[in-house]
Amino acid sequence: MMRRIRALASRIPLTIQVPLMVVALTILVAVVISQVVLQRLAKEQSTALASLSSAFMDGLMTAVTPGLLTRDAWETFDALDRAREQYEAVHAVFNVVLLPNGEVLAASDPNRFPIGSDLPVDLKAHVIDVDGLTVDEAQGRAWLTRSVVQEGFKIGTVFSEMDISGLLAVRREVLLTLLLVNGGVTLLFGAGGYILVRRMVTPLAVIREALGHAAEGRLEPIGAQAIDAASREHAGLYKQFNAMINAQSEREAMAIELAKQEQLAMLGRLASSMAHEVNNPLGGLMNAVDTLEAHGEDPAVRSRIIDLLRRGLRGIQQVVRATLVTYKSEHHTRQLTNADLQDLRFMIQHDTGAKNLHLDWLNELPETLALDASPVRQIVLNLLLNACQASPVGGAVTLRARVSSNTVRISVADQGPGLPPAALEAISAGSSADTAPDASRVAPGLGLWTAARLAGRLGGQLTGAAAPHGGALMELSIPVMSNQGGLRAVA
Amino acid sequence: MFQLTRRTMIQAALTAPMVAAGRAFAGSPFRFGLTPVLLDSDIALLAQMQLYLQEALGMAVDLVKRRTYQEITALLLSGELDAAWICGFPFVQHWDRFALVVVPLYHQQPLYQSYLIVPHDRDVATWQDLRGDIHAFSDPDSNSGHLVTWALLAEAGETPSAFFRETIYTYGHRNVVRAVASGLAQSGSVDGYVWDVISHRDPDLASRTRVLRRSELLGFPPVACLTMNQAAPRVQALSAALQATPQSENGRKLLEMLELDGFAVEDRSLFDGIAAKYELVKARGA
Repeated sequence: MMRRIRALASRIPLTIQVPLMVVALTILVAVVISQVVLQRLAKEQSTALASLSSAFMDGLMTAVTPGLLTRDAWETFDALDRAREQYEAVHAVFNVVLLPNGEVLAASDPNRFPIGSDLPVDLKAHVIDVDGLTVDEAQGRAWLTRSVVQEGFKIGTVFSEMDISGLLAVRREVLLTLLLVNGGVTLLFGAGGYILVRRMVTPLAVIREALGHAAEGRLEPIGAQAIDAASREHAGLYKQFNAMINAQSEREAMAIELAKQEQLAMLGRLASSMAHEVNNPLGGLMNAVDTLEAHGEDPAVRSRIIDLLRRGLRGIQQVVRATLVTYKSEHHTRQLTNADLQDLRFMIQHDTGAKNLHLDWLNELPETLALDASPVRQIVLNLLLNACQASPVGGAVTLRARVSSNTVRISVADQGPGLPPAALEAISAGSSADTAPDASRVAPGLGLWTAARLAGRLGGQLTGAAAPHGGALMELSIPVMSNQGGLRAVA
Repeated sequence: MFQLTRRTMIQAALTAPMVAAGRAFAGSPFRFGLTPVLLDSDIALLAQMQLYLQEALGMAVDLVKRRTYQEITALLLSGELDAAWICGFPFVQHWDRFALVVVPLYHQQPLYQSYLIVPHDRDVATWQDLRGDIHAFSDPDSNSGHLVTWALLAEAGETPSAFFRETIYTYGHRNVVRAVASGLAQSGSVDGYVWDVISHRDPDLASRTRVLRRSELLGFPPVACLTMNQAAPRVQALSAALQATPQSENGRKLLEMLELDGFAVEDRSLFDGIAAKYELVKARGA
């Protein structure tokens, strides 16, 4: 039960919760105070009524006793009638003097209580044996009975009815006043609480809005106007938030700059390897040209040389084409093809050749896939280059590419020393959405951070682990649209 | 209606005995008895009466008032009063011992009536309809407030105790009106002169009653003295003073308050009618 209440309460905004609590507390206090006041008032009224009616009755008894002693109806009536002015004080409705046998000797209202008559039955019930007061709040009436005793003998009874509706009206008025005042105070407190809490939580709303913008990629500090308008504490909060936003912006800018530098470095390495790839066959080709010039008339030699030239030039052509495909500016996304992955072999040919690495290559991708080709190629090229760099001379670099469960899975393994912690951190940082890398720690693995980030943008992820036979195993998995014909064909 | 304010009257009433006891008047004061035949408890009236009598008699005057006619009659019979304004009934009861001093003039006549009154909204036409009532009398020794009705019933062979369910004595004509107006009594016997005055001065009270029957004219309650004192200078002075009431300012004020025209010396035969009623009820043993 309490949990439910708490759960329910947690859903209600603070601006409503606090005023509701204030209102509830105020109502509680008001109810308690009202009860105390009304009870006290009722007690006071009861005491005052008893005291006043007793004093009234004392006077009345003194006045009617002579008439009662002689059973003189006129004298008794005259006494009751002359006391009429005092009736106002106790709101007496009537006074009846009864003989010991219950017969009316005289009454203030003789038409209602004729001489010699009996009291009506409904009133007889209120004539009590013991002197005192009986009250019927529903009727708004009180009845006072007092025995008149002379020398130890009861010579009669004075019976009075009093209208206490005035007292009850006072109670009602007090209750109404309490309700109005307490209601007003409750409303005032509730409204005050609402305004106060609303003012107090205003910074939360401002910061929430700013955080919302940040989540959308817009790191915007809180404006100076809002800071100036806020209280000292809130202004401090805003300034700290702005400091955090500024630091974040700086880190992001630095990361972007570092990524650019990395890209340039990679480009340099690529350019270098490409020049190497082009230059290597060039020596052989020049020799072939020289051979052709010297022995070109021999058809067999010519044919062999031309074949050699063709293969050499084709190799150069492949390297150049692969580079062009990878780095040419593409304004529109292009679907990934099996050949896009195959091309990468040529782009790392220099690195594999330099270290005499064995390339274990199994590309099982379908002809086309509903994936943007450029980022996939960049990621895989980065992984391959890293693998070549990490692998020892004569080692093996393994690539596996396939589609399973509507997901493209490409893994690159090497036989190097394994992934350093910095590289894992870079992958983790790149995988976290919109998290700027800690430039100082991620910088060595900035290529991996970029690769992980690209994978994330494609809706996939990049993971790094230790390979079964030592070295690092990088795995890229990217989901593809299920309605792609190519994928269905493979699956 | 009144020239003097109530406050002036009260002051006069309060200061009079002191003046009487001081230098102003020598000798014993004139003791004048008043029965509730007058408008009881009217302090202003008493003050004005005392003022006028002291002025007219040239001596201190003590106004002696008692609750019942019987008490005043007893005081007068015992010689403790020089004179008293009594009712016609005690006068005829003590026919041989009382002498007339003066009789007030009401509507220029020394006569008045007894009224049988009922609540204003009571649907009765004749006195016979009052059978079984709680009936209010003024005083057992009152002519208009008892004897007249008593005699009326006696003429019809009835007695008050048999005709009425209950009778109460209120010891004041005004009280009879109050008893009937309040519903304490369903009918009452009252001095017609007093009821008329109440209807002018307290119309709210009088209007809650209505007159069911007016008696024949009878001798107005007289100022009387012991027969043996009739020739006494003090009594003669009182007679002259009361007869001269319309001739002085204070006397006129007194008459205005009493709603009377004056006082006149009348023959005892004026009260034969009352005496006859008394004889009637005595003869019937009621």
